[in-house]
Amino acid sequence: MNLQKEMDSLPDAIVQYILSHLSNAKDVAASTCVSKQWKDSIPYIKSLYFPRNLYDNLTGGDTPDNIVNKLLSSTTRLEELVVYCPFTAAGLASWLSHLWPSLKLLELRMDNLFEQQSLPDGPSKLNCIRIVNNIESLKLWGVLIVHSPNWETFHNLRNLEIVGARVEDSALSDALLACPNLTNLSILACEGLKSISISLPSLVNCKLDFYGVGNCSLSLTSPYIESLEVQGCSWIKVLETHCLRNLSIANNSGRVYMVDFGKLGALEFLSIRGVQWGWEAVSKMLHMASEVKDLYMKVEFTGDYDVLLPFPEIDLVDFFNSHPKLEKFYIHGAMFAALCQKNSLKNVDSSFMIPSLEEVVITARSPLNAEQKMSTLESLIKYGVNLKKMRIRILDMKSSHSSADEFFQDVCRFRHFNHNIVSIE
Amino acid sequence: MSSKKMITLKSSDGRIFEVEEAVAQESQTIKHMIEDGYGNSVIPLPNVTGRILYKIIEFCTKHVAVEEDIKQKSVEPTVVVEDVKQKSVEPTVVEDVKQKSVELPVDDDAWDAEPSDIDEWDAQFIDVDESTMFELIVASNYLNIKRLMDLSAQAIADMMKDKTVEEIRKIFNIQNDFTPEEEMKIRNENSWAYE
Repeated sequence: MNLQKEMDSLPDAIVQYILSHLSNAKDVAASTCVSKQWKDSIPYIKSLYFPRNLYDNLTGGDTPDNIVNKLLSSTTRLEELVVYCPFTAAGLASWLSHLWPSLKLLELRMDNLFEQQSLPDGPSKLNCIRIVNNIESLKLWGVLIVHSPNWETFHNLRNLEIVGARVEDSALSDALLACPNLTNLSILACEGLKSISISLPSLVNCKLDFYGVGNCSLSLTSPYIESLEVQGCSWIKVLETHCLRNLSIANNSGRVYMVDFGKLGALEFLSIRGVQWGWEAVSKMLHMASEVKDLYMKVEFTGDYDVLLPFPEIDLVDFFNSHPKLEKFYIHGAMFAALCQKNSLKNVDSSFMIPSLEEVVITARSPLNAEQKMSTLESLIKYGVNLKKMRIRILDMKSSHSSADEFFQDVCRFRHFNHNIVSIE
Repeated sequence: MSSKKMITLKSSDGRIFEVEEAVAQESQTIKHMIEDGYGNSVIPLPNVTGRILYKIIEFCTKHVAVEEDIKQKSVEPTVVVEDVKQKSVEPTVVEDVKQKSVELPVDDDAWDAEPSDIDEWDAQFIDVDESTMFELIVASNYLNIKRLMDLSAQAIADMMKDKTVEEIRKIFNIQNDFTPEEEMKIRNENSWAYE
């Protein structure tokens, strides 16, 4: 007969190992009551997470700060702390004072976007973080960075994520200066920024999302950068880009007018999106991304001033000749409308091919110039010798004019003749 | 296909398993034994039953295959069954092995799985009763297989989520060794954590 293994008879080391995989603070606290062996294993917990609604049922005179403090002070080697419930700067300071030797990851819901902060050097939640100087990863939600934080250099910090922030340029800049060894930087839903210059020698991944009128300036110097996503900038300068593989530039509210990049020889994925891009910026971007395999283009208008202009014609032959490695191509509305043959296809070199193209997604927003658009679609099929899939999105076309129906019928006919490749969405 | 070195393992209840060296070396304990020169004879594992050793070999085989797949993109399933049949060994061992190797999982799908499916495979692997989970964690601790230790520890910890103290004691058959006064004191300290 098999002896059923009971948790009771597990050696201490294994119980500790199991309990160190618990992280919800409520489960951990409840565990202290199960048995003596369990209670004695709590100090070995590696990770603690305090959820948002932890204190909904508080009774007695205890404050959230104290409760967290009590649980944290019984640990001896906590590596990860995530706190989503409310807390004060004083509470945070006392927790971190206990945790600093072992803590590697800290995630806090700061919720202080609208706090008035009178003294820049005074006790603030942001300043308290200096206590855990050895951390490797920091994530802050809803944080106010308007005064330069009183931080010493975080030598081990590799990952910094900020979600929901209100900043002043110099304060954010000073904060980044204290994190010279970052490999991952992510600043999302960030308000108040006008201009930032980032110089991080080890940065590999960078994701920036700036709210506002879309006229931020970004200068980035990180020679090993591989992936960059930027939203909300009108002026972008990234000079060392020989490792850059993924680039995404979007602007939902302003106009992108200056993009300055180094050589983009390694670029595989490029996405350009926005309401308005200056023509020089668009053509420069497309010209530099000659090696790109995956291209996503969704810009509504061009023009160098506030006036929104349609795109000038882009010759199809020239376009595909200058992007010979293109495998996946997504083109939207106004930009698709501009793509045409001009007159070049009548005299086109018989060896013209679009050799690598495998997948195309086209969104057509209006039925204007239907003939030209159909001609473009047909050319793509004709010269795209390896084309496997073409998806045409026309189902939310803007016009309710009868020409829309005609266009739709043309597309359906086109789909019918090329049904193994074309689909309509 | 190059012939791969096989390691022979013997469980506490006398069952014999032949595994590839790479698979056996997922266990740091066995790896050290091989390095110390014991790889050519039968390695006894008196702390691991045959039932659990079988599962552990299944786990290690799968993870070695996934790692090789990542490295080479094309994987030839190194099926123990065939190797064993061809190898010339003592008749008794061969018979045992033949019997056991038929039982060993030769899941064709498993060999083709993408690395990202490994988490799903692990989740299904560890979806067993508590008793087996405890045996797995003890055995993987003895054999020093970190990945399996983490998987089983996390699975056991997950079983504790949102349970009351009484429920936890019941599931894991734990004796409450606190006096009523001690227990009351602990509950008061962290009253927010209890229903």
